[in-house]
Amino acid sequence: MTGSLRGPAFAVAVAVAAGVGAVALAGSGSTAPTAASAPSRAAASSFWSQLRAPEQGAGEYLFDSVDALVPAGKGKSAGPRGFRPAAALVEGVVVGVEPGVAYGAADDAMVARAVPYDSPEAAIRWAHLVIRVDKVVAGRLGRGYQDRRIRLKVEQPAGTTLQGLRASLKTAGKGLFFVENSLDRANALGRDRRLKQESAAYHAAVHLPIGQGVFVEERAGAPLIAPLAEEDRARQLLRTAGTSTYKSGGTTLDGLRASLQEKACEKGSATDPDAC
Amino acid sequence: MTYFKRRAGRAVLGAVLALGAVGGLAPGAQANDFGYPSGCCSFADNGQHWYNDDSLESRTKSAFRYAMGNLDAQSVMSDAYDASPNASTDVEAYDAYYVDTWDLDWDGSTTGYNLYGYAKCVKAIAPTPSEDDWRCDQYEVRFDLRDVDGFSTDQRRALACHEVGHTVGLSHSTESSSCLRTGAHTTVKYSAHDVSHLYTRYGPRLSKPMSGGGAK
Repeated sequence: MTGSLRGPAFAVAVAVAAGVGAVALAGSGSTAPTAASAPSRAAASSFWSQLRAPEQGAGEYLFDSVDALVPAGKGKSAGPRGFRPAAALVEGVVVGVEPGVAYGAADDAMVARAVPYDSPEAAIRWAHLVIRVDKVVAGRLGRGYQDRRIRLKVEQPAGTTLQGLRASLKTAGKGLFFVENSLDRANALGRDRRLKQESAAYHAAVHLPIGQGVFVEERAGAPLIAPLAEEDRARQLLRTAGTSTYKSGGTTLDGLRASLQEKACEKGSATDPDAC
Repeated sequence: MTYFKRRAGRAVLGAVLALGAVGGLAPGAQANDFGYPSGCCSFADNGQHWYNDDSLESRTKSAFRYAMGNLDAQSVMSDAYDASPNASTDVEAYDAYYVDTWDLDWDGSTTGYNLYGYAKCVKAIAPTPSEDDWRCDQYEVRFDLRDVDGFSTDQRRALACHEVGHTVGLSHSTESSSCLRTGAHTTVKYSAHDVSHLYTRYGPRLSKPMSGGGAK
């Protein structure tokens, strides 16, 4: 997640970093009949179903339990297999969607060519979800946290539109998000040398979802979903989120929050020590 | 570009074979999705699957060729090497020590999912009134040598089988007999359920593509 930026992506980066609506620069999503905007994933779909993870790769998971994502207190960092936990666990609501970065076919290159967000040439698009942070449950937010908002970088699947996503925001519910600022994580992972001056501004302005750790209650009291994870992985993460919170009907937001709060207390990262 | 056409005879035969395959594999009926957006990946644009793997290093290329041969052996699709790759070559395969290509998290240090390989449709064909499925004119398949370097021959073949499966629309599988399952494994074949999916969409194979020509 630490790609260097070029051309149009940089323009978006500057807009985001400057707090300007990037929509104006990159457009608000094509209405032309391109692969990016075809109506296959109906606008009537719920917000998160449109963002369902289109996993197209083979690989292995590096940790088994959502506990590995809980921010660590001072002096504690790496979790299982060296996996670095999130910097912050926040509770909040998605209040906006902005265009982020798009890349075309990469062919034999290590670095794909950045293309305008609306371009039919785009092979992959990364949108920014604007999240209103209602509470920092554990860890801390710093860089990129302004006006109680962060921008979370997520893949926008083919066939969805920014307009469609925005129109469905009322179905986004509220959730718990494991996040870290993109530049901070790159620095922590020793990748900062790859980040050129201009792309550093972009990375400083956006947050990354850590460990596919986004857990959402679409309606009050409804079982949580983990829309960035594949179905089996989502079940696994929710089951491991404290056995006491996993019921046959699924894990609830209150249950998961309580379980994660407990873990944050153990790790020394809870923001409300009185709750420990 | 869209050689593939629906024909009643093919559809009937495909349905019969698919029912047979699925009927014999009741638990596998939910094994994986097929196509997009019900599953992960767009269908191939037709039943002829042209590929170019010129830039692969020898071990990866050997595995990739094995996987393409395996797909061809299902007698559903026709696979052939494309010596003159262009924007409509169905699959272009690459390998490298990837770090952040496409901003993907290749080593899993952020997502928690270490990618061995990845198949991406880079030329999608959106649904039309006459064809309501997403199809793909060109996939790029990438193998991360950081992982592949430590793989056995069968692990490399399993990975190639997995990624090639995505290029024809197959999603991840829950079956142990399918190379579309996730994680490091040595299953180098498609399951009967996978093949039944392919047959309903592409089968039966009509003819082998002509060398150096034909619809891509």
